[in-house]
Amino acid sequence: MMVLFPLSASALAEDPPDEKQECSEDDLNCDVVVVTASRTEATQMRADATAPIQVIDRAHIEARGATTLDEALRGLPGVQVTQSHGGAGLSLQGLDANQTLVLIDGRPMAGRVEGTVDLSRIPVADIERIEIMPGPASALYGSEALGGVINIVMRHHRDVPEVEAAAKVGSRRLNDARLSFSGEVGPVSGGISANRSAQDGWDHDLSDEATTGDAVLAWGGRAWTRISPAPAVAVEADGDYQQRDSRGVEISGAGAVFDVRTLQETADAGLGGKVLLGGNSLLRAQLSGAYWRQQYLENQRGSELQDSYEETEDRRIFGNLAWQWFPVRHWVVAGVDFSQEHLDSARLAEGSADRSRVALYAQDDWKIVDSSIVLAISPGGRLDYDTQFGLHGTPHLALRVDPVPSLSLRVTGGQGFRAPEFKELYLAFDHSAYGYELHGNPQLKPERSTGATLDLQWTLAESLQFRGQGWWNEVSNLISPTLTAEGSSSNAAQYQYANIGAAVTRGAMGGVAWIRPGPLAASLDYTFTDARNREDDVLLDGRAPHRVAGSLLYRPLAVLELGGTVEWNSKRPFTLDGTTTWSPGYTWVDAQIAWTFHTGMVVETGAHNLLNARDDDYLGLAPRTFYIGLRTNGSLLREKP
Amino acid sequence: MIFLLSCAPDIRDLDGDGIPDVAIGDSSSEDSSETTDSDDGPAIDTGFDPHITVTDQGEGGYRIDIDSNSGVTYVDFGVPEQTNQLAGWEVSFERYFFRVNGGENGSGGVEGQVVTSQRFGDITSAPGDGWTTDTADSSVFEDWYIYDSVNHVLTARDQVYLIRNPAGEAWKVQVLDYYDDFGNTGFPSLLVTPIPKG
Repeated sequence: MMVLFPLSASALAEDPPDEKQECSEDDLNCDVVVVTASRTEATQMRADATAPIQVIDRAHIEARGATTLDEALRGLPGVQVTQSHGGAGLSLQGLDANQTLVLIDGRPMAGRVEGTVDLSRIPVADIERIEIMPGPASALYGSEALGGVINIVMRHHRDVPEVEAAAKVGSRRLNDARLSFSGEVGPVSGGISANRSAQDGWDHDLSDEATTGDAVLAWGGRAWTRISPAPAVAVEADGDYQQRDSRGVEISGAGAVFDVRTLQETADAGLGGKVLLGGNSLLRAQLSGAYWRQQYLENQRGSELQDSYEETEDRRIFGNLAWQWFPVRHWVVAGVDFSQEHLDSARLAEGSADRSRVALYAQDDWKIVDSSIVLAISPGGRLDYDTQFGLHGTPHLALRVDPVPSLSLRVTGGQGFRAPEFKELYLAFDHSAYGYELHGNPQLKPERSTGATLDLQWTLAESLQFRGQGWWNEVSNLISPTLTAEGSSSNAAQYQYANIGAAVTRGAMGGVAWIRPGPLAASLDYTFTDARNREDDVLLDGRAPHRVAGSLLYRPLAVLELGGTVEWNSKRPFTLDGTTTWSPGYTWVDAQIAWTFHTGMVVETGAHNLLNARDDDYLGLAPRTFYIGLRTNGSLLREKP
Repeated sequence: MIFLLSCAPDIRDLDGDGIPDVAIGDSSSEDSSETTDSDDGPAIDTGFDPHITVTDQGEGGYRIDIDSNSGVTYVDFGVPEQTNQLAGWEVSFERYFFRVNGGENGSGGVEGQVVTSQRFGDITSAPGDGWTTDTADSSVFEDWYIYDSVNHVLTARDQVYLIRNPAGEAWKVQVLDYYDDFGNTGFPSLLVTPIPKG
């Protein structure tokens, strides 16, 4: 039952076997390779992971016609795409988007706005797959992994020369293109890619000058290489630059009209190496840097009084050294992480801030019994030292039992934490024109969570699968602004961040899936979420208590594929000053038809938000968008079947 | 190396000539409270050039539109065109802070009171009692607005303020608005009409 690819010298020189099997995100039995659950080089199949994990592979991303990461993740069971001032985020298990850790190739990203990594700034052009591990996972990954971890695995190694291209046009003058070259010469492989995407904004309310959604122009490029000077040694390097320029018009409550422009740049570079040691062990080291710069301009029409310009720069250095050991039935990893972050922002009291963190972590993924019956346990833990708040420990335990081959039961429990952000620590926001000031608090402690997840999969006749999941997370030390001094006739009200809150998120998900082989793959899942403040029992903002996600992939002919995704969310609560209002529920539908030419070209057409769902107040859902495009089905240089 | 990779232009440069075109307004308030001499007598230098517009409303009444966005404007209700005079002002305006020249906020002995039981047009004289002035704990104009915390908008309450000075002059005052035509904050508009002292 257990699949462990042999750890050999060749395993270092190559990526895991290229899984050409096309999987939908609802197909939990689809054995794509995952790395997030173990954080090792061992190529673990998803079905063999001790902890539950969800994978969205390249085929799924392309089948959805997604351009950015948030589009690719919409409509997944157990995953809710949220929208805030910080952009598109991902809520797992009813926790906030800023309580979900987003990684690229296991490395942290720079540039959180309001605590959220804006998923819409990540193009899907070069993504190999997305791994989502729900539940507290700070034991392996550290801060922000309260609700779970999203690891975006980029495409790296190619063992044959490849040229891939895609182009797409659509509503609101959508034009999107990408191109990549990759190949291998002797011990050196590598590639380069480029992407560009542009689309007009939209406006649901023509009665004023404000627009609802921004026009966006995004472009970037990436290069990567891998050198294997010896069979047991591999060195990897990669670099990426992306720019995203969005423009819109906003109007204040008092009627001031602004042309608003946000220009974000991200640059990432990484260097890593791994060497195979004796005794089934491996040593890996990596060093990476991430840079994010945002320019934000509000240019007031008719006046200069409220013109504003804000520049924010975030720099992160991340290093990791890990020893991995793979004796029979064990995958052991022990490592040390180092990170250093520097933020420049005029909103910080001192104009900039620094922090460093070092952490030790270890985990043993142990298959105690591995036959027709499976029993596995995976204990782990991590100890972080942060220059801001000191030591912080997080344990984790995962247990998997397969009493019969068709039934898998997984239980995980652990703790997570979210370190206070720089702005929560050092903000100096003078909004006295509106009667208040908000200040950071250097004494803040991390938000903490303790949670457990129960996951069940029962497969009948190899194609029909029932699945269920339940979770419970208790969160404490929640960071929120709190009133420290009432406003008066001569002084603005004073607010400061404080660890004042506690919350619980709990829920259950159940569904059924029809799994390939065969021309049809379909799934339907229902999720119930109860997320509320422990202090006053008020429901947490924006969580839909009821949610249904469904998907369909039908291939009546080898060259024709019909796909669709449906996501229904019930109404969502939002509370202000003790009054709860409910945002209406909505249904999001995507559909696509793809036809493959005999030459290996694919023409595809489809629509996002087919029912034109709207929620301008809280989600800013883009209106119905039609598109048509052409892409290669694999490499132009490959011999086509 | 990646820390040098910022290559996007400054987005304040709208025409691409390398020079930022968008002037960023300085909303900081500088209240130096220094006095200078002028033809009209000692003036208060508030660090900015106050700008007001007075529109005659008949029967001695007027509407006054005040710029208090980036500094303090001191208004003499008897001679509204003559702002920031050290002597004779009744009310000062600094964004949403409205202060009378008395008690905690001045030595002019100005007093006021709020009238909620009568409309502006129905008030014909000032009463003999009920007068207060600004203190450390309260002020005459302390609740002149309603704050919309969702849209961050101040809306004037529909109520009338009576103001009097030791010289025996009195006015009825109603706050009309707090924003200029471009939606800028700190531009209060008031309706002011002199009334006989009761």
